[in-house]
Amino acid sequence: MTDSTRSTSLDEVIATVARQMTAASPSAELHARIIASLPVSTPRGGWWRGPVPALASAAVVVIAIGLAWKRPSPLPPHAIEATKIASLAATSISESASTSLVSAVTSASSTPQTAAREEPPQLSAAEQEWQARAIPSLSVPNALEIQALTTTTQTISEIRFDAIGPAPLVIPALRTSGGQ
Amino acid sequence: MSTPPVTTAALSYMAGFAEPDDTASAVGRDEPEVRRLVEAARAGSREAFGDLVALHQRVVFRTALAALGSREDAEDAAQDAFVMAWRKLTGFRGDAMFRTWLLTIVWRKALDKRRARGVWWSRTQSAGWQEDDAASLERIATDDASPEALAVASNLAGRVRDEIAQLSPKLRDALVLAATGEHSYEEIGRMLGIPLGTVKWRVSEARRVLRTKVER
Repeated sequence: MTDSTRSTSLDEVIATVARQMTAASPSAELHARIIASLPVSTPRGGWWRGPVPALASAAVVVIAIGLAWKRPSPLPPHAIEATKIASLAATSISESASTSLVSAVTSASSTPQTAAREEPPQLSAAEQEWQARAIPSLSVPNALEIQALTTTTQTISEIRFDAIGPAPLVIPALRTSGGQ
Repeated sequence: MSTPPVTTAALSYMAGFAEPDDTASAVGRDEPEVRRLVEAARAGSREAFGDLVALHQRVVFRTALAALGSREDAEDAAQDAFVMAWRKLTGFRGDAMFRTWLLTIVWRKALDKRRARGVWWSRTQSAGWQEDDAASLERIATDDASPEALAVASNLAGRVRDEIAQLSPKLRDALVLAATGEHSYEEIGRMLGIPLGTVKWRVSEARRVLRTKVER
């Protein structure tokens, strides 16, 4: 027997033996076993295939549209008044170097009720002329929704400071041994 | 030790255990009848699923047997696979053949069972094969081949079986699945989750290793 013939025969033996390993048929009752073990419920898809994801997606879309179309809320009344006064103060203050714009805005915003009660200052002819040439008054867009600044003031009734005295410095005396 | 001579009669006798099934199909589309049954089963028809079980139970059982080597374990794995297929049937999109999808399920079930069993595959296989050897000896008397030639063939077959059992799981699985005659290489690749070229290499390598060991 040549080597090639022997190899071919051996390959056939290997193939045959390997085929024998699965050369069996299932038992007759396997089909009945399988059918009996099937769950009663019909096949169901995953939860992602049901109506839940569709409803959730629709809800997300509705919410997103609602947020996109949301109108900016109007400013509270005191904030509107404060804005007006701040604009007026900004234009009139520019001729007065003694008062800064920031302080005017701050004071008007911090006390909106007080500022709203004050009458607009009476301007002289020169002032009105200057104002006509001045930069137009600032306008605050509503979209920014600037809220009035509120400040809280806390008073400290009593603060005690205890004097901290320096600790006494004690320097031990050097001992001297005899003869040294 | 040289390879003992194997007569054609002995080989044909050995092959008589299981003629290769001509059912190895390419991984393509299901036949219309299978598609109809799958659609009906997806709609909840247990009868249609029963027909699918009848159509595929043998290949499913043999696939599980290739991994487990035990009839009882293979039937359990087949049953588990069909139950899972019933539950997951709506997830079957039809991109692959129903048969390939089902075989992938049963292969995973069989591997889970093989790991959980914790018994080395070769032990069960050897036990089962000893029964086959006993049965084969009874047939020898009625075969045309001489008793001596059949004895040599049987001895050689036993050696090959032992060597197959000693192969690494990767090589053994590919070799046995390919030898069943039930699967194309492409289908084996999909079941094992490996490329087609890897399947072919593993089968070829398994044969080479076996030849080397048996001829030693």
